[in-house]
Amino acid sequence: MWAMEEALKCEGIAAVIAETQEISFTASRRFQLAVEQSRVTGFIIRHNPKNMATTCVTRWKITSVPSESATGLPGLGFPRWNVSLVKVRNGTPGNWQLEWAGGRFRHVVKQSSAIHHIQRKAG
Amino acid sequence: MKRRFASIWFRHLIPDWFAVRQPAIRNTAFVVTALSHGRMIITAANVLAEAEGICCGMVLADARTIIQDLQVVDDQPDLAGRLLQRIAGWCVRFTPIAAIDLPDGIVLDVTGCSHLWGGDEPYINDIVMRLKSRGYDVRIAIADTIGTAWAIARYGKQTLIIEQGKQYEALLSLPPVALRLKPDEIERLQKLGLSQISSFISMPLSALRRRFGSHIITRLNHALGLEDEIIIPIQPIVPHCERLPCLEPIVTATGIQIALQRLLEALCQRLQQEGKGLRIANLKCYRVDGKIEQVGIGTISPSHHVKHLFGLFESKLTTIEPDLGIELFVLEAPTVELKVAAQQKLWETTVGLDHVNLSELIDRLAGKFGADAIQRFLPDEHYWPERSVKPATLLKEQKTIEWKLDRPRPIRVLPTPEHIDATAPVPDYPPMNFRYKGKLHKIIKADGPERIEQEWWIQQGQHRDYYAVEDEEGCRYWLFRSGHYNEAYQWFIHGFFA
Repeated sequence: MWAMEEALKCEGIAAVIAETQEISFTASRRFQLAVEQSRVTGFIIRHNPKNMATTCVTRWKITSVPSESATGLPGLGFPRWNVSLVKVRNGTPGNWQLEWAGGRFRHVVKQSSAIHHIQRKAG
Repeated sequence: MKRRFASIWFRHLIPDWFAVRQPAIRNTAFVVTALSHGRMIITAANVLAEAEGICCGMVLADARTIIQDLQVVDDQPDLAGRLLQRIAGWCVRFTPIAAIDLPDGIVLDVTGCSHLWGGDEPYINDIVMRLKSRGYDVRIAIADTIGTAWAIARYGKQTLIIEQGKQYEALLSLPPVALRLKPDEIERLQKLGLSQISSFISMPLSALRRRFGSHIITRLNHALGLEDEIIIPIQPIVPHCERLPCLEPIVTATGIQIALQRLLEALCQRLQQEGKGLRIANLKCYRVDGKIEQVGIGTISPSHHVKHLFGLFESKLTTIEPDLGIELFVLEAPTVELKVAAQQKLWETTVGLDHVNLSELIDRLAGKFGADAIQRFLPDEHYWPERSVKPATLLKEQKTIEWKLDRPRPIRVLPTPEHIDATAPVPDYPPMNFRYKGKLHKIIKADGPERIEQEWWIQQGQHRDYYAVEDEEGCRYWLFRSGHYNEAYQWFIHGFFA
């Protein structure tokens, strides 16, 4: 937590990624104030979080979904995720399915459930 | 500036040390003995024993006939060297250059030091008093040369401080032993009746050399200052070093901080003028009771930024125990590198490894969590997945090869593959299901195999057949089978795809 805050305060960094199970409201508020000062982007990756009351600009929920190959061939298709924007400041939440194909993300129109969580803080 | 040297002579170094350690024998005659050729030889005797005529080199049995109840202490190998080393380290509070002078002395280079104590006399009085309070009986002399200081400390009868350029006069009345000659040279001088230095110092050099060899001339030149004598300081002289002696011993944390701040400002100003930055800095605190407290920091790129360096030290200052007080602070920068001054910019737009703030952040993190906590990886020329990355040793190290992106690789790789129970049809189909951490995963889709052979020039063993598989929840894994299906083989999990 100390390292995360120090890093967020440091200008000259593109983004800070932290992985943690739980983060308290106070800690998230401190991070938010730090990024507002330094304009650094911070990501906190949380796996099965319990405490949802945190300060952040956006909160994403990302889960993997089974891939599908276009022509029904055997083998793995392109990796695919269900990405839902649970919370966003000054915006409307949404839900999308994305696929990594040909070196870029492609939008797929589908629906699915949730395991992973990604919360995003943008400065 | 004319150089000045002080020579400290410990009259009874080892007996004094034993007397402090064993107060019971302090007021009795005792000797220190060592076994040599089957006999107990006396290596040192204290004042009381010496007064009775016992001296070094005597056999213990002979000494026992002089004093019946003579106490005996066993000698330790190289004790004098270790003691002198420790005392010389302590002497660094009087001068930065201290050297040990076996078997029973220490040489200090006191050039430009004694005026801080108000002159040569208060200076040596202070040293004598402090050493005496520790139980050592010493004599100290100051002169322009090591040779003269050595001679006066041991054989001088009148003054212990020889004025500048007065070595010649001071040496005249001393015996030849005072020139640190070899025993056979002394014997020859005595045979010829030359019992004082004055009786041969004015002889022509060629006559002296013919009769006594060139060693005596070297020693005379050393004593007179015609030839430089080299001493080896116990601590290498750090060129970038700042000292701050304190009038009163410092005991508070604020005091230490102020001292550090002043030292850093002085050091950084000097570094800035030289266009350098420090990589390693050590703060040494000399305590009143003779102990040295030390904290050190390291930086990943050369720096002379006072505020940043102070921040690095700040977290470690709490480990310093001032105890009775700190009387001298020394800040050393043993590793210094050239620092190219960055051009001032109105807007900092670049983001990346060159940024000053980044290296300062790394220093702070390394200071708190240790340097191992921070790693940066570069691709390495290996097929074996565990070896395909290597940690970068320098911040600005560039990759020598490109990252390999042609094969699917998981986003997260386990440091060591974990064994799993898998069911797979033969010969080389992907598994149908596998159990990992107690959970059964049913495999819906799979890709593979991708065979990765052992790098036989590094290690022997089975090859691996990798499969990328997807279970019914859509989670993707990287599994492999080690070995051929018809031999003993095992399944492992090695990574997780996004």
